[in-house]
Amino acid sequence: MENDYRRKVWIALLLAPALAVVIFVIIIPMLSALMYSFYGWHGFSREGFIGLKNYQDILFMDPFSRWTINALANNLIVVGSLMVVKVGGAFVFAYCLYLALPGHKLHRVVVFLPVVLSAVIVGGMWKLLLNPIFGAVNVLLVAVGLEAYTQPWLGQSSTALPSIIGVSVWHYIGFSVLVYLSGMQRISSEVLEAARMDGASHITLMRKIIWPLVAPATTIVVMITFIGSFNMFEIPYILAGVDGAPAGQTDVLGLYFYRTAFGSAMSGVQDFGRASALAVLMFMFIGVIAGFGTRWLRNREIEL
Amino acid sequence: MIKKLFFTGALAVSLQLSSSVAFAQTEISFWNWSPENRTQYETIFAEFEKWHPDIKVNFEGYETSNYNTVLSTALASGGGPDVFQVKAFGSTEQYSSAGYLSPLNADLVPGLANIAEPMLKSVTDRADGKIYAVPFGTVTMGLFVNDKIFADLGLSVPTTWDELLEVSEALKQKGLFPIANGMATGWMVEVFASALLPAHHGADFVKEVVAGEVNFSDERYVAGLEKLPLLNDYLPRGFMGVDGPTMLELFGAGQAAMFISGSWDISSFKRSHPELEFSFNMLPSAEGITNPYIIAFPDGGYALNAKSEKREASLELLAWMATKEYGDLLSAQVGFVSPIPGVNAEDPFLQSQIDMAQEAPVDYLMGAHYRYQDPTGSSLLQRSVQGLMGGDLTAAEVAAQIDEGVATYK
Repeated sequence: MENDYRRKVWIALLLAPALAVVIFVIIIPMLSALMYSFYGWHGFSREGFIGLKNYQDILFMDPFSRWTINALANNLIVVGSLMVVKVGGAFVFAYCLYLALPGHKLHRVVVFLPVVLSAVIVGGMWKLLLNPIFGAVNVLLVAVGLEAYTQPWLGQSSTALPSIIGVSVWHYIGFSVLVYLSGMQRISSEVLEAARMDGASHITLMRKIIWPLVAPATTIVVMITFIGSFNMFEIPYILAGVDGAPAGQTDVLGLYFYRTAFGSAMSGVQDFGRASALAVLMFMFIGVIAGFGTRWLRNREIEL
Repeated sequence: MIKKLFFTGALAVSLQLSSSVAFAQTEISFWNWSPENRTQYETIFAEFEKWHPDIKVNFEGYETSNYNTVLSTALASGGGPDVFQVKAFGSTEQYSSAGYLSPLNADLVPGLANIAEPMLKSVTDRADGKIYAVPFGTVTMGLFVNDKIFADLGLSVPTTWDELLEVSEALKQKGLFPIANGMATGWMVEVFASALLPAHHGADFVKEVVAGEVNFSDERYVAGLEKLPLLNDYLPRGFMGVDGPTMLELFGAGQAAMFISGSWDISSFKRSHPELEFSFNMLPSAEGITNPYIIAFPDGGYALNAKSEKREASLELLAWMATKEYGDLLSAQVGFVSPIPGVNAEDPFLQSQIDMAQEAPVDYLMGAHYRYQDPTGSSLLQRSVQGLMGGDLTAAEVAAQIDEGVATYK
C-alpha cells in the first residue's frame, strides 16, 4: 500500500516540470488570448469589454473580412498543394530510396539537409535566388537560352504563392521522406517478395501493398503537414514581407495575425483584440480538423 | 574556519561591487530605424559622451520594415529602449495614447522652445495636447537623377510628366532602366505613389479629402492612380519582384538613371557609391500641380520611454538633441534638415532641399493624415497600388479599397 502511494508521488513529481511548462507556456497564453479577444484594444492599451465584436469584425466587416477570407483561401491552396506534394511526392521519393538504387545513401542525405537549415536561412537564400534581376534562377534560365521564362517570381500574383509553396517543399520534404522510409523498412520483406514473384509492377506494389501498410507513417506526415501549413509564417514573412506582397497574394493566416497584432512596416497600428480573436479562431479551426483527421486516420490504420 | 572564510569573502566581494557601482557609467539605449547609419550615429554619440563622461549611449538600429513591430513588442513587455525615434503624426500618437511615452516640455528639454510650431505639432498627441518627442528633422521625397548618364545622352532633368515619359523612352532605347523603382517593398511603393500622385490630383484635393468633403474615389485621385501604371514599361525588368536593396543597387551602380525616393537615401548613395554623380530634384508637374514640387514632411522625433529607469541620463541626452550642436552633427553626418534654428547646411544637397521645400512644398497625404487608426491609409495604399501596378486592380478599385478601409475609422 505504502509503496503504491510513494510510486504515485514519484510519478507526480517527475511529471510536474513538464506539466508546468505546458501550463505556463501553452495553456495560460491560450486562455489569455481567449480573454484578450473579448476586449477592445487601442494599440497595446486595453479598453472595455466588448464581447464578440472582435470576432464580428474579422469575420463580417470589410475590409477585415475580405482579408480574413483571402488569407484563409491562400492557406487552403497551400494546404492542398502541400498535401499532394509533401505527402504524395514524399511517398514516391521514399519508395525510390527504399529500392536502394545506386547512390541512394547520398540522396538520402541530400534530401534531408534542407530540414536541418533554419527557416530564416532558407528564406533569405531563396529570396536572393529568386531576385528578378540578380537572382541565380533567372540568370540560369537566360544562360540556357530560356529567357522567355524568366519572371519576377515573388512579385507576380501568378507565381508568388507557388514560389513560396516550392520553397516550403524544398525545406521540409526531407522530413516526410524519412518518416515514410522508416515506415517502409518496417514492412516484412516476405510480403514484398511474394508480391514481386506474383509479377506485381512497381506501381501496383506502391498502391496496393506499401501504401496501406505505411498507414501509421501517413497519419504522422499528414497531420504534421496540415498543422505546419496552417501555421506557416517564417517563409512567407521573409520572402513576401509582412503584408503578403504583392497585394495580399501571399497573405496567409500566420502573416495576417502577426500584422494585426504587431503592426506592419512603418505604417501599421496594432489591434491586439482582433489579433487574439483571429488566433482563437485559427486554433479552433486547426484543432477541430486535426482532431477529426487524426481519429479518421487512426481508424484507417487499424482497418488496414 | 570555513564560516570565517565565507564571511570575509562575502565582505570583499560586496566592497568591490559597491566601489565599482560608484564609478559606473549610466548606460542608456537608443533605438532608431536606420541600422545603415550606425557608424554615423556612433560618431555623433561619441561627441555627447565627451561632454557627459558618466553616460554611455548604446545605439541599436532596426530596419524600417520591422522597426514598429520590434519596438512595440519591446514596449509591451515592459522593457524597451530608454530613448527612441518615433515617426511623426499617427505613429507618435499610437505610442503616446498607450502610455509608453513621457510627455516633454521646455522645462525638461529647453531646446523645444526654439523649434517651430508645425514641427512640434507633428509630435503632439491630439488628445491631451502634450509634446511627446523632440523633432529631429524634415525629409523630402523627390527625383534622383544620374547626372553623368543624362549628360552623356544630352538629356535634361524632366520638369513635367510629359518630359518624364520622353526622357524615359530615350533611356530605354539605350538599354538602360529609366526608373529604378520596384514594387516588392511595401513602404517604397507608398513613396513612389505619394511622390507622383500630387502632380495629378493637386493640392486642393488634399485639403478637401482631409476635411472629409470628398473621398478617394474623387475623379482627381483616380486620374492620378491611372497614370501610375503608364510607367510600367520604364521600370526594371521584373519590377514587381524588385525590392528596396535591389532598387538602391540599380541606381547606385548606374543601371537605372532615375529613382523616385526620399532625401534619406542621399547619404546612403554617398556612402555606398561615392563615385556616383547624382542630383536630387523636384518632382515633375502635370495638370493638377503646374509647377515642379517636392513632398516635405517632418520625419519624426526622439521620445522618452515612460518606464525608463535612467530618466535623468535620458533627459540629458534629449536636451542635447534639441541643441544647435546636435543639429549640426546630424545634418553633417546623416543629412536631415534640422528643425533647430541656426543649423547650417553646408552640404549642397541639404541646402537645395531647404530651398526646394520653401519654394514648393506639398504635404505627405497618407503619412501626415492617415496613420492614426487601423487600417492606416499607408497600408491600404501600399497594398492596393501593388495590385494596380501588377495589373490585378483598376484605379477605381484601388480608390474603393482605400475608401472602404478609411470608412472603418471610429
